[in-house]
Amino acid sequence: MLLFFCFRFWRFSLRPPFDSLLSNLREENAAKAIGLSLFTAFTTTAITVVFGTPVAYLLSQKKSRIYRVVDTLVDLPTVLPPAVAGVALLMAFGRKGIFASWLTQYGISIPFTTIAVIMAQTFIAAPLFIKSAMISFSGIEKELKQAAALDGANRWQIFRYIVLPLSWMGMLSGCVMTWARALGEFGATIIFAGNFPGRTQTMPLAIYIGFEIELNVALTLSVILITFSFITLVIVKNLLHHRMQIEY
Amino acid sequence: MDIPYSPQIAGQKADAPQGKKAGQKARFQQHGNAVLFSVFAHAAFLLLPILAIFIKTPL
Repeated sequence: MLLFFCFRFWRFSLRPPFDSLLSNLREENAAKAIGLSLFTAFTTTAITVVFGTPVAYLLSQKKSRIYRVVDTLVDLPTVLPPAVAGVALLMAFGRKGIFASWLTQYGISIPFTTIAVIMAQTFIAAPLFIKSAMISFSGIEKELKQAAALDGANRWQIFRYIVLPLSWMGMLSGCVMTWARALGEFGATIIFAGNFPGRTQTMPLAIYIGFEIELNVALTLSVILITFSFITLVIVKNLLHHRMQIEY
Repeated sequence: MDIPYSPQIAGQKADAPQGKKAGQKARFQQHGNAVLFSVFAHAAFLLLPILAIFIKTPL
């Protein structure tokens, strides 16, 4: 299996010769797609951390029915086909969506913009961070938080000085997974944001269009995505290994 | 022994009204708003597009 993958990767990465790899990267659309992909993936991860951390913390603490419903809702994008997610976002925030009149009133147009790319990526990738953070938060001993509370720590101080240092690895691996998923998002993005170079054309979309226009650019971008995916897996596996070593 | 979190025991809000409900209200006002806002904002962001599909689907 290992040999097979190594051989495929070797052939795949050698297909565009290395001297032409750099020139392919300098192609205007390829450079724009790489820049846009990195920008949107990092923005998506930042938004997910800001909004997802309180969600994960609360869901790890509360077990009532309403929180179980929210938990199911958070999980939904992981099983939802990305194309359906794209249609759903379009029906909500599109020009004929349920908020169309309200958005038009304020002169806001979301579909087929970079914001739409970020929204689609957040919709699809956020559950990965939330689930990872939730598992980390749930693993913290209740007695530690109670001891801190008895010593006068408020909830923010408990989170900052007890919960965060004990769960940062789970959060970081969630961040990396979210970033990687956002980087590879295709289905929801092409439906909700379209495929406009420099504005909404991320790397996966450039690969899709590259097969019709410029195969070598598509192959170069594929090599970059494979490399990013490999690095992501190495980081996550190292973090998990490190966490297991600490726990046992 | 399982000791529940209490702002009275923790030495905060010493002047807070006594009783379980009053304590809960004080805690909610102190820390809960931002967290609950995040939860409902995220839930709304996920739920509204799904609902939009059902609303827009012709029956």
